[in-house]
Amino acid sequence: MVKGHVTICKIYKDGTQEIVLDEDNLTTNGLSYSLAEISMGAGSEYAEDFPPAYFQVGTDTIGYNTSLAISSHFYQLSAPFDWTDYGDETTLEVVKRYRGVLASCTDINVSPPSCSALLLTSSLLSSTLYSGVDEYFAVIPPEYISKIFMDSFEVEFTLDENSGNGKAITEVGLFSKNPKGLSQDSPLLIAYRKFTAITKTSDFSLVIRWSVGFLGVSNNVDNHDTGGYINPGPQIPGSSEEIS
Amino acid sequence: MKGTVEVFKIVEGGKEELLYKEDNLVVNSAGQTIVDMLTTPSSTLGISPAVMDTSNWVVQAISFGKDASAYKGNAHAYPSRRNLFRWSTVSGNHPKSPNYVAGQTNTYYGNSIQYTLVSNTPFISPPPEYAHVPSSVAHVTRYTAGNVDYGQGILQYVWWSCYGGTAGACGSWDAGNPQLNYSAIDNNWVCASIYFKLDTDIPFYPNEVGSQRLLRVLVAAKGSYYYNPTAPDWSKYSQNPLDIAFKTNSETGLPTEIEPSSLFILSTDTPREEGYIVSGWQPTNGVIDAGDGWYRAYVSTLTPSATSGIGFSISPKGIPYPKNTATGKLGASGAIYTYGWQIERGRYPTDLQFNSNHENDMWDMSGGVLGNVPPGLSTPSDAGTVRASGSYYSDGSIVSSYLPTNSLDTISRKYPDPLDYKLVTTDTKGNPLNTETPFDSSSVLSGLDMGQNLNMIPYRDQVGNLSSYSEPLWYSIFPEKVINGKTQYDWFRAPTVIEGALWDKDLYGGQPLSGAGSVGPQALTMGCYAEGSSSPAGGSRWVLVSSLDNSAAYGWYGENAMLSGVYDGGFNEASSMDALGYVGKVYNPIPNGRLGDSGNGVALSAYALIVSSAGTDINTADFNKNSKVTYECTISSGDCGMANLYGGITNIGLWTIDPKETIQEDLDFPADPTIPASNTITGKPPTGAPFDFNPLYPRKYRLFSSKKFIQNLTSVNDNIGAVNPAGALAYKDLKIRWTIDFGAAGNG
Repeated sequence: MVKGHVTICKIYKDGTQEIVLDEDNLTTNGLSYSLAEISMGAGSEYAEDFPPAYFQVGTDTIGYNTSLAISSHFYQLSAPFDWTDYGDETTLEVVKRYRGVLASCTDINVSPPSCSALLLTSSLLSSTLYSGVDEYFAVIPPEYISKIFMDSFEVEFTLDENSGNGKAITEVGLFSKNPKGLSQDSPLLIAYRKFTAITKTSDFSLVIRWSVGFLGVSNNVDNHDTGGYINPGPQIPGSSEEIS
Repeated sequence: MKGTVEVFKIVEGGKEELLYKEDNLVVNSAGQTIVDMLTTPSSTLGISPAVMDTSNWVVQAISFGKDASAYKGNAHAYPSRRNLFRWSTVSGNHPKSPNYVAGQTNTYYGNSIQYTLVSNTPFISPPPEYAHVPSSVAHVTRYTAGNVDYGQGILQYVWWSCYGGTAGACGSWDAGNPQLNYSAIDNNWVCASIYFKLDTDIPFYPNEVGSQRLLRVLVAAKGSYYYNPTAPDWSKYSQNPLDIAFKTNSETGLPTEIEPSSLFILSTDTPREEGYIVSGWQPTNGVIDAGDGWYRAYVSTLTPSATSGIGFSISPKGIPYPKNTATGKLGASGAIYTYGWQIERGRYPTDLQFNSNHENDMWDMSGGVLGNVPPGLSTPSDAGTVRASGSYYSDGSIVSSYLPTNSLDTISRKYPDPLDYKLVTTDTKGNPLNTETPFDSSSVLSGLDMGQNLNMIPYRDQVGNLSSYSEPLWYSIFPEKVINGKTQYDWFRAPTVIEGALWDKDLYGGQPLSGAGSVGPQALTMGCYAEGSSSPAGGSRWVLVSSLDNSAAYGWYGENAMLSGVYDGGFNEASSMDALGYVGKVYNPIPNGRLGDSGNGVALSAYALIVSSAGTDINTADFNKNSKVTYECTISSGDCGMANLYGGITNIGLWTIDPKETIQEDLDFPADPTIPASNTITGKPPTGAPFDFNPLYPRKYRLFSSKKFIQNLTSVNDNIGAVNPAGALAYKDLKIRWTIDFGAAGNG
């Protein structure tokens, strides 16, 4: 019904390509939550707040169990990169944003309520609030999102040769822009993938291609490779909030 | 994503009684909508954010329908024989045709040929659309005249029975139609049409300066005049002429050129009416370019009471009517080719049918609607009656409720399919999957294949909405522009929108006849929902009859019916359903456009689509299980009953907005700056946002989820032994509760 697929490829300076991950993903509750919000006229009123707009990579993993109904109920990476983890010379546009999270609160009538993020847990609907925490995200330019089949989209982003070097990357997350329609972007995790550690070096770029399909029987995103990788090219500075 | 559909019957005290609870099918286009939203370039969004906000990507409508075959039966049933003429070719072999004696003016003999010569000319190619038709079925005939005047042309008509009951008295091939009674088609529209082509060697040409007319086509319906030509009764009479002319040189007074390209509709004389006829009727007429020099001219008229004959003639029109015998003007001479005579119910010509010695019966004349008169032209109670065939109980004493024919899509081999994009799906080109098409040109729904029940009855007449030159109202509301149904295309064609050379807006004055774009009485055959109780008609009348093709079984206005009643529609009372059958928000009223409108808005939101969270108790529900949205819609008892007459409800669907199609409509039909705003269709917006939607300028939708029931949701059982046993009189409201679970945990 809703499926995603992640391909991670090393591209070395001499052009050699090495696919290191080519598997499905986990679409998280943030996606279904957003769709339900849209359908009820809640959340952001702007369609542009819902497409993937940010990604994170991290160095740990979320230990979900897909046999459980709550396996998709988390809204964060286990150990996302900090600003410095991306590296001083990164070509990525790294920004600080208020990451969205659904949280369970002991008493929502108390200000501020005592809340804890839902992490592979659930709670009563009446005690669940949308909250957030500041974290660092890499920006996915809108032009790197495309419709690949009638009911599938693909997004592609690159951790270039100057980014994340020395880090053993084990997870990647895809975030929508601002589904709650807050005054500033509040990314919400919509898809997640963990994998065997890839130690990033300056010898290669990591190109991550992520496709998500809805419902289709004729367009299984797992069976199609649109091929090719984009060259992210130089980034335009100052187009978003940069972290000093 | 997955969904569940629950159907409740609302019983006394407002309590809900669960009838069905089944899974639905979320179709692929649901994912398409989501992905479209996620991948629409922000630059597009920025153009008109009000149009492209998130509300345009979510479920906004629900619709109802049945299997494809059901659209050809039940109250949709429509006579397959539309052409009411006995012959579709006026043969030159008729014994009276050659050189019929001049001097016998205006003697209305059936199929008589007056003063002229009619020749069979099968060697002349027919209109290209009929090039494949053998000449033995239909052929071109050539009409030659010399110095003739108005009235001296070819006349053919349908009449009921010959005066005196003998064929000989008719003096023609046509022995009448003895199965018809004298009210078989009274107070109803008939449209006559004919293909013509100039004989460019000797076209009809006025013999005197002062006239530019080429020919006149005229339809006339009369009461006992036809019945008794020796004592004509002019108290029941209507006619509608159409004159086609050459452009004239202002200095010579003669046509500038005798070529088809110089033709135009000169004018129509004021339609004539006398006696027992609904006053204020507005006829339609026009000329359609048929290619290869052929044109199809058509005229319509509203028949008077006790109509007993309908005549249609084509004749040269050399000098203005009346004939000026005092001056001795010579009229016109020349020749013209004709092909495909047709006269039919309705205001617009449909696809040509070829007849050979066809004899009409009451079913041919009536269709599925009794006593229909366009609303606004008569009393509200004459708005028409929906007719369906019921059955008696075995003891013959009391009547049953209607059991619709609904064959679960066996004709179109329909089954729930993720690739569905309608409730009844056609192929990707919009054609039904089977050659036995439920929506082919013989169907009343030809070209209107929305795959679901339409809501035509309240919008059958839009006279008040068109007061100036404009696109046909109905034509513009269909997203596919009726590309597959020439029949309906022609029905909805405005009479003043003339293709090819035959339109001269300046000369004609740019004023169309009111009623342009109106679907007219055919709306009652299309169905499928009752008018609101506060409409001028006070709901919609219906009858169950024991036979559809036997006049003795039902009379004409419903007398002898087995069961009758009036259904009050909830959707149309609330104005929540557009003309295409989508139930969405409660629309803002449009003047004269929606019956049941008081002009002060409406508040019956219960019969619209209600969207809410899953309806669970927030204090006990688990967030983990709350990615659900519930859509709820109540079908009123009257709408259930009326929908059942049209085949019931077995298919329902949830629809999202299709933003591209919605705004494309406006791009296709931009506002004409030359038309005063006060004369445009009410609610038709100018190019660009903000849009003002209404039932006749509706949003366009994309299927999100569908559900097919094996059972007809509107079926009822009679309560035998009760005072009023018929279930058709005891309908209850139905509530549809549809829950979509957006839970998306997938893979790992």
